[in-house]
Amino acid sequence: MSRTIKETPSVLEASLLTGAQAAAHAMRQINPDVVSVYPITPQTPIIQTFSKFVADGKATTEMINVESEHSAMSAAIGSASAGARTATATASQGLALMIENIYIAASMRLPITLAIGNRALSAPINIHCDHSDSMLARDSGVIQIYVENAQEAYDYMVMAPKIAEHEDVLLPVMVCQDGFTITHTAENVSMLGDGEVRDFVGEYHIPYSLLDLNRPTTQGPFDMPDYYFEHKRQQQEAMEKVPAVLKTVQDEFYELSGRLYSSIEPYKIEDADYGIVILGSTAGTVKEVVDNLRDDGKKVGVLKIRSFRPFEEEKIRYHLSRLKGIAVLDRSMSFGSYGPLFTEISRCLYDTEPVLRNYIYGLGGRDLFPDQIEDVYKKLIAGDTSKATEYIGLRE
Amino acid sequence: MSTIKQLAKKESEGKSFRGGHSLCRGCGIPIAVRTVLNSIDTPVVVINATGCLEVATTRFPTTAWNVPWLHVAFENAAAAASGVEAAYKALIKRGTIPDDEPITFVVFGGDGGTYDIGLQSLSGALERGHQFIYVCYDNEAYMNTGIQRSSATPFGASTTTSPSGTESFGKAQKRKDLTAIMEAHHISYVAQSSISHWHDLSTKTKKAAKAKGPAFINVLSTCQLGWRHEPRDTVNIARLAVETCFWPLYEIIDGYYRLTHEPIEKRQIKTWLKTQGRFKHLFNNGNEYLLEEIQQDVDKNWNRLLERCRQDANYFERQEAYF
Amino acid sequence: MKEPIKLYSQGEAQLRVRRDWCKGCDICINACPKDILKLDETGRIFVTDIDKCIFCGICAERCPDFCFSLELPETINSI
Repeated sequence: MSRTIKETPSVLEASLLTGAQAAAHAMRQINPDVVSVYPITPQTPIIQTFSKFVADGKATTEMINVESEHSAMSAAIGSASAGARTATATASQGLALMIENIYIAASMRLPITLAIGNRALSAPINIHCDHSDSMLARDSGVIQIYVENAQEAYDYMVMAPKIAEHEDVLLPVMVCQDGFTITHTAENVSMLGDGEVRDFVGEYHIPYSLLDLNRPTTQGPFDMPDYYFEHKRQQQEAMEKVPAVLKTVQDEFYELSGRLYSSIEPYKIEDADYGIVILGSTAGTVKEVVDNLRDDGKKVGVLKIRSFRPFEEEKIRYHLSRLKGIAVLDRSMSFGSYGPLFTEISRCLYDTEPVLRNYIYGLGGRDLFPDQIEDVYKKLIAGDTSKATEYIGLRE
Repeated sequence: MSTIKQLAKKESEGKSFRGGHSLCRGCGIPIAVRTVLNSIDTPVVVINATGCLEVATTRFPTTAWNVPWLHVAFENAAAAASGVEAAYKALIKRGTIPDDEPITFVVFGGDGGTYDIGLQSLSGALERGHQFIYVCYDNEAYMNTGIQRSSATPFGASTTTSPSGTESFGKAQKRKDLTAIMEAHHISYVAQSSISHWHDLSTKTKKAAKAKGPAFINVLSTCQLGWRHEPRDTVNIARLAVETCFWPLYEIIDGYYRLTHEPIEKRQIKTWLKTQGRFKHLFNNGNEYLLEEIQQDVDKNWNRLLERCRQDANYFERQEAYF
Repeated sequence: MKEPIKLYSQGEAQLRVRRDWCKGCDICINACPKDILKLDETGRIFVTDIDKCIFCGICAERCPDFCFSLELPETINSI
């Protein structure tokens, strides 16, 4: 009783797509069994574009138009545990609303793809970009990938099921793209052919399906103190296996696309004295500033982190421990302490030499400009060792 | 039509739900669950909200369930079931599951997880028309967490968050009519039943299993700990709730109401209230007005139900067989 | 526990009682139309006289802990 899909032939030249559209195309080509949808700015174009694909027969996904994000993730958990390849999308308040289910999905080892359009958390309500929403989920046990542009958004959405469904992993994958900056901005995106993506992701088969009547399972049981601790430790073990799987999938993707990815992207950092560490789209602007300063003879670089969870400490330390000064730019806050990325980096480099500075930028969609980034480097070069967190572009 | 022997026979096959669980002695919930599951002929998959049933039957590494069973959280059993049902459809499409072996999805939730925190996800699932039977075991409070009031708790009942005291007579609000809310979603089958009337519940389950789209059954389930009575009286007290017309047994098919049990003699609500410790304070001097109010409410609701059933009687006369 | 599972026979019909699951709630005792169920000194259920049992199945239907199962040969008609 299968419907045939109207296929798009292999697209060799680049298309002009927003990050949201690119993600939707990846989903179309993967053709998940089930997708639950609930709208929230700025991820809505992802689900709208995808819904149209389904309506036009370009994907045969069962769509569930749920009545809240909490239900979107609940339905995704039900679907994934029944053995269906499942995806959903959210942002900001929606992510905050579904947070208990994000923890549950990770703890139940369900490989769900979660597309995120990064957006600030209320209050006050703000629909623009920052990383406070996905940072809320950083302890939940999901894999978190931050992309820089629409191309990366497409590529990681294609890779996501393969990472998530690997038998050593079986965890949800959050592919985070900056709200508006990536979701709503059109760029050239090279897509693979439908058949190529289909072959790459393969067919999904879960080890313990809820719908296996011959082997009934009790999924989501109750733990007393005598078992919970071990269950969590085992979950950490799954996370520890992710870097190797990530590398394998990224290498396979390279064979297919010619685009080689890694959990981090070092840019002119190998011989740098000073560096910035950053997540997301702003890395693009920083790379421009690095090029300009290099022309001026300044030895600067940037380390862009893609995989925030798991946090690949060895790799990051390798690139950063020789530097004289590092500025970590956080696009979210952890009130009462430093920015979350800074906290990870400091711990990672605690017994090494570099001076570490924390900057908070871009909250609620506040833009960051090249001259402001240049100032950050200048301060590092000038040997600024103050420990206080600074806010870039604050208007007070 | 089930016979008790048929149900008992199905039971001894041991296929669905078994003993050894840690529900309280004399708990009404397993009676409801067993009757429902034994009345369904197809294979069953259960989705369970957080609550007494879930906690007491799945303490890792043990389980009382011999059917596939899923628990996610407290307020989302219906949403999780929506996902399971959608996956089932998708996997048939994909050819992974044969389409000639129907599975019945049964969702169990207490009154807490259904009337209150779970109402939104249930409403959404009903509106979308997913194919499942939702069975609410209504024991009229959040029992698992220690007897706190829910919107299903009766007026005047003493619970730990609506205790009776010098300044309070217990719960000050009337209980929500969830069955009516379910009917407002225009699903094809809605019913009210009780653990005391096994045949009624079994028949309704069979109808629910044949309904097109979602079906809902609200089952009154006594709680000896929360209602405060001897465990041996579990079934009798549920029966008395029916005989006093506090908990009428009826069904709503395609929006038409039909009474499935009319008490031979409508007993005074006092006789039911007297059996439980949670209503004891209502019999203190000065509280007679509360007993009167409760009786008036029961009468009002019962008469309204009778009137509605009378109006809709024509529909059933016209139907040769329904379900 | 003494005899955790007891099998009572009346001709070809059998009543299997899982005493290890019994919590002594008395519901079955209250419901048995022939009054042949009782709690022993450990508070668990036993059948006093299986010959009086009419195999109505009420105990099996009512017990919250699944202590009773009826094994009936197909040839037995309702008594």
